[in-house]
Amino acid sequence: MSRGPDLFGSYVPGTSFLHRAPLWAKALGILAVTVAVAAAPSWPVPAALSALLLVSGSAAGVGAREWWRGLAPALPVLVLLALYHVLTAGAAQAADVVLTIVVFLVLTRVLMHTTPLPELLDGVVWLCSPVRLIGADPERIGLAVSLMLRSIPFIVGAVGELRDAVRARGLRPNPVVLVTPAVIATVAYAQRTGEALAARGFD
Amino acid sequence: MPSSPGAAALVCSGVTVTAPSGSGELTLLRDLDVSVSERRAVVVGLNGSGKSTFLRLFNGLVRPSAGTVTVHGTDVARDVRAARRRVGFVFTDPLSQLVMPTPVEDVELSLRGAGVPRGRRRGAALEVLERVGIAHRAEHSIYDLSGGERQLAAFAAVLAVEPDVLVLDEPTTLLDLRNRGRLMELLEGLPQQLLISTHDLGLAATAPRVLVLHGGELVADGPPRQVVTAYQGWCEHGFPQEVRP
Repeated sequence: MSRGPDLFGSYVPGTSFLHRAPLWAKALGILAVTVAVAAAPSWPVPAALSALLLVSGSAAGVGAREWWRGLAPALPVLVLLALYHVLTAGAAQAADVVLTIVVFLVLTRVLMHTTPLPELLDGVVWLCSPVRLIGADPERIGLAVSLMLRSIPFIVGAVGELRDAVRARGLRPNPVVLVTPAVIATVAYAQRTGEALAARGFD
Repeated sequence: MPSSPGAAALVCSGVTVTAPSGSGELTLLRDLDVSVSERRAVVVGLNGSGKSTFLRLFNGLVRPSAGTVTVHGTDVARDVRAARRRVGFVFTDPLSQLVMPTPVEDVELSLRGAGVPRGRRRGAALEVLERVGIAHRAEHSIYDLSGGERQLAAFAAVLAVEPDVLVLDEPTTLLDLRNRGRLMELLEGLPQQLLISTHDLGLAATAPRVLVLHGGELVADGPPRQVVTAYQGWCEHGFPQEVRP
């Protein structure tokens, strides 16, 4: 099974200031970016933040190829959104919407590149600890988040392999025809993952 | 037949496993009575013979429709958590087993589940990866590892929590000859009790006891020389139960 598109990136060991920054500081940074984007009157703020994050990420070792791998799968959606907003609300609004999404795509990649997943998992578990009051288990929520990060690229990769299998038989891949085998592959993957987790005592 | 039920044994008593199939039921294992107390035992059989179902009983991944399964005295149905702490399960396809992006993170997940404090997890995980010989690939994406390295990573994730028993479902199926050799060498040095299913008769020949499953029934059980030879003959000329009236 191929890895599929590298949507979120993964941790690469390093010694940059972002690698060394504690998780709480990164969480505060994310909060600050979110507030800035939400409060921003128009596109220059997300544009500036995108540039700042690109520079910070590059300083932490995110290479041009890695940026491209993260942004390329989102391009069709970004183009469609841009066209829609240009036609309905004007170019400034389109730039604002698209750049806001780019900010969070870049932010996710920088976070994933500089933070080991177990550390992230610890953070999510800590953040979710109040759910204990209603009888839920924060460890499960943390595990679900890490499984989601692992599973989305896997499933997108599985769809790509189905498409290749159809092409290899000389047929034209029809998205409608691919839906059923893709759903079956996804369910099978979920079952295998569940079984593997159960075998390891995470049930 | 070397069956001696005891505290350090994997025991199936009167085990039948069925699964729904269309409008009826499919019998995957039929009235199985077996006790494995040897340090190493191997299960062979054709595809669909019930090998994986048999192995999964000991980790509680499959529940018997009838009969009981015990692992070193623990009834799996009554205390599946305790059984899973005792039994580490290694799947055929390591990609099904590895749920984190890198080997070190996956081993850390196992240690987290075992309650190892946060500060000690990374060091302990790297130590286990060193033991299985892939510490140099600890922080690579699991997709960038070779099939053999993935298998070893999955193996490390199970070994990290030091189970008493290791159950391995066709561990050499996806390996090349070199990695097969590495895995066999590794298995040889382990203190755990091993129960392995395989199509690899070379691997079967190294165990003191070989069980043959066919059509969900145990059709042979004994030392490898006789059993493997009989199995090869049955593969060519038909199994005993197939010639029954």
